[in-house]
Amino acid sequence: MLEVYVLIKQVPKSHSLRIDKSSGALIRENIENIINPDDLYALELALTLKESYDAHTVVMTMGPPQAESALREALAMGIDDAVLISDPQFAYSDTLQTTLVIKEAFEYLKRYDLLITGSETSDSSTGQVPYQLSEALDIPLITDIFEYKIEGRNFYCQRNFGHESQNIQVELPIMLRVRRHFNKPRHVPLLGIKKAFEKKIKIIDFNTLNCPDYLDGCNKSPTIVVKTEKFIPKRKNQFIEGTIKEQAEFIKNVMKENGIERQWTGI
Amino acid sequence: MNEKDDSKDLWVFTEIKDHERVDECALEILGKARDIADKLDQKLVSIVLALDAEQYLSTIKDHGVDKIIYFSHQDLKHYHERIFTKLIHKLVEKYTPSIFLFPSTEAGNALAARVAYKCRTGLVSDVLNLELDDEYGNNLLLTDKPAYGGNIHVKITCPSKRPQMCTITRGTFNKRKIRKSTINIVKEKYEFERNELKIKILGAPTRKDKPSSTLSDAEFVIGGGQGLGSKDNFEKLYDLAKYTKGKLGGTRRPILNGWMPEHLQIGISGESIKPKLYISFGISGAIQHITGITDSNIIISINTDPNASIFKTSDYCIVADANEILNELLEYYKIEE
Amino acid sequence: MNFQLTEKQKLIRRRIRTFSEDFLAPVAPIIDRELKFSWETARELKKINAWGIQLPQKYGGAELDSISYAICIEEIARVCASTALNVTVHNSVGAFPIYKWGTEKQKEKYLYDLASGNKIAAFTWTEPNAGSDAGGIESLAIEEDDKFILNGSKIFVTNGGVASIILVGAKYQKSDGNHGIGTFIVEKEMDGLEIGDTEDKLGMRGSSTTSLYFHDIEIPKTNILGRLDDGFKIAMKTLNVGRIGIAAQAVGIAQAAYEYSVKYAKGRIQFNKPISQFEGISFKLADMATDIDAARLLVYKAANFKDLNRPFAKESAMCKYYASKIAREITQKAIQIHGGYGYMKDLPLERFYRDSKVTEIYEGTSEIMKLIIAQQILRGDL
Repeated sequence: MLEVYVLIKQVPKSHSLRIDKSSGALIRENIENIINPDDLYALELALTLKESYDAHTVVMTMGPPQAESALREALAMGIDDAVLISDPQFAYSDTLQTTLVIKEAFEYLKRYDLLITGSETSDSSTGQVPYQLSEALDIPLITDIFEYKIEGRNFYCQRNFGHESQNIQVELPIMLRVRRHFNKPRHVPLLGIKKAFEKKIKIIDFNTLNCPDYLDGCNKSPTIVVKTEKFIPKRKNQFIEGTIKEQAEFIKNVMKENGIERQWTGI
Repeated sequence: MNEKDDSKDLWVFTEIKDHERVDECALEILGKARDIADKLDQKLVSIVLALDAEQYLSTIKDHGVDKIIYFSHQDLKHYHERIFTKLIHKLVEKYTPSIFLFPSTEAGNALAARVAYKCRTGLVSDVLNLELDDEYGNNLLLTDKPAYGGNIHVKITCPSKRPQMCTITRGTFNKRKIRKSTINIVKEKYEFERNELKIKILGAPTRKDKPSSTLSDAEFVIGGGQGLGSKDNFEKLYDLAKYTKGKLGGTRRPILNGWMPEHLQIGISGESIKPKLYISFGISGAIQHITGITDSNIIISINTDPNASIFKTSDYCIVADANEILNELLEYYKIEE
Repeated sequence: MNFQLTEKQKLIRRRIRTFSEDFLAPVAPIIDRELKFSWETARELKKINAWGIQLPQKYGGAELDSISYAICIEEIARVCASTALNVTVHNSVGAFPIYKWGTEKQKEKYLYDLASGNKIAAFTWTEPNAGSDAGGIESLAIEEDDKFILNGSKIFVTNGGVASIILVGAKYQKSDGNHGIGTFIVEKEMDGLEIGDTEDKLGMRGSSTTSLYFHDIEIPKTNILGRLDDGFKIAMKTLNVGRIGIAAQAVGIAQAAYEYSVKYAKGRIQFNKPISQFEGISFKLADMATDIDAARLLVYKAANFKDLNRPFAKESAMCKYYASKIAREITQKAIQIHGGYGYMKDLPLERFYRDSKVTEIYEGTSEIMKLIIAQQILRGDL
């Protein structure tokens, strides 16, 4: 049976964000948290795989205890089991620390054939973890796939790579990063929601992993966030005076500078 | 793991695109990196991996570098994760740079993430500004990065690990033409065992141009709002989009008016865009819309009201009837069919 | 006391909202304009178990609690009140009585199809001469050997044109008042069932309302629901349940009108400031928010009493009376806040207004609700 893991992240819904004016910190109370939108495509791929192959699907996230609700939602979609990597010691992990912890988690879990991720997270938008985890576990990361099939331990797919379309063969385990709109994430049935809340979520904490002390996210992350501020877009705000013709001419020039030309389609 | 005391110099991964040209964004980064190198009194080094890499060196020399380190080999015709990561990681171990900058391209982001992991150092992606700061350490690189869909900016440093790494979005900095009197060129020996490759390519790859982009990843977006006044006027936007291979989007109003389908909405309840250029026609700039356009590189807005709030979020503000401007542009871009 | 929804209920709200915004928002104005029940929507609703929200899992239902049920109906109504009507009538007055009073055989026969949405249910009582006076029905089912022969007609049947399983209240003997009434399960395929034209109505136009005519329909005795003389009791208890759904629907409509109003008032600039900064508008919004909160709490209380197996006739009448009243008022205020824009068909405000009105009428008018409440509060000592 294929062990399929979907790596997701819980993020704040973007329009519920507020910043404390005096401290500049994000106000975390009363914000609505959701599954990172890109991750829904990864979950959908896992569910589709399950329909065609003998697969056991697991959703995994790393985050605070309340990230459990994102896992429940994934279970409601039809994922079989859930793993929450959570420990106060993992708080404030940057991407490198996150990668190292997830790597430890997979070494602890031992069996995995497919790790699926979305393309990026809406909160930090780094998109780094899939690449770094691919390095850490030393398994290939395949992105931008189209057709795929699995035969035995081999994964065959068509993928876009640079400006090439390639047919490739790669041995499991692998990581897949699913692009946005790769599929149509299914709607969650009410019965799925009911059942999701009857499942037990596996918790992996600092002690479970028997972590080396470099995994202490707070103290050992190489990057530190020094300041958070509400973004006030810095724009030139330059008013372009003149006749309509002159103003239009200005726009044409900006378009040209940005490589936008008349496109001859026919003839 | 590099400790900061050993490290020096500022590197820029100078990506070669489609085995034919130096990436524009990499050249822009060289412009800014030159400034920082001067302030630090360190060398600016360009890193090139390509097939026939020599052909690109003269272009790079014109952009202020002190040194170019390059690999030239047929295996480097395209970006390859294992090959590039391994070569660059070895290079970092050998020369211990203090700062390593990458263009925020598909390859640049992937490579930077992998190299950062190999070096167990920090990486900040899609940076919008770079400065040197002494508050958290001597001459630390302080990066400014958007988060939460651009609603929030965070400042990040990497105090103790080296190199300090980040990827930079195109259009953030300006290219500068400077040629140093002495430029040191170093060719590194290509060494890679092909049996280390895990992915087998079956059959000959075919060239494939990217599928036509969706609104959210379009490079040029045209937006329309209530200010266009009528369905007929609004439909001219479709023409402009067609003639310029732009993508059309808009605010809530045109959808409610039946001028435009629902899925083209830009903003909170629609798509977020991040094009090189966004031109808004007759959009007043409600916050619901603004949220979806802040990642645009350049914004031009046309509105009759000089106090329209869209102008606060625009680089170029044009107080005029959007229809008149649109007609002018159409006259120029229109193609007789 | 705890006024927090559970994590499960929160997730239900979010997911049903997403579903409604994705699938129902595009069709809501169309089915309203075209007076059309959308079978495509019905199929989408099947995928999320919306036709069997509270039915047991063994029949394919989602077996949810009554507050979750109210949340589902509210969220659907917030986007498309007609769809919420189709769903709540099917669930609460169609499927529920069969689950509650049906024999094991009847449950086996009908509940799978109802929970899955393969078949849609309706419940009929009202006749040309029997509205609020429920005992005045004239449809007659005469016993003949092992069956009953049904004649008569029903009007204003929600889901009338689309239902395959119809619960019909009919007298089995000529008698006065509430006695001698039975509930009969009529199947669409039965000979003698005639479906009238779809009624053209003010609101809820995406719901199929028709008359039904019964011409010598032969109903096997196995299709009697409950005991033969249980008809009136079943109807009254069923409506107590149904009213929670209707009240939730009214809350959903009010919520939609309120959200539109807040957004508009913050964005609409007059006299150099958003109109939300004028008390004439902001006080309206404050009233709306308060009324919606109060109505919603009444709905949840009735739903909670139902789940606790406590009497809830009064609570159910109160929540329906109050929620329908504030829905009508709020949708009207919402148009006022939007001014001319609110009156135009470009925006859905006028649809909300039209849709809201009937919540004060069906499943018992507001006057009957007050009657029920008064009876209950005057029954005992203070």
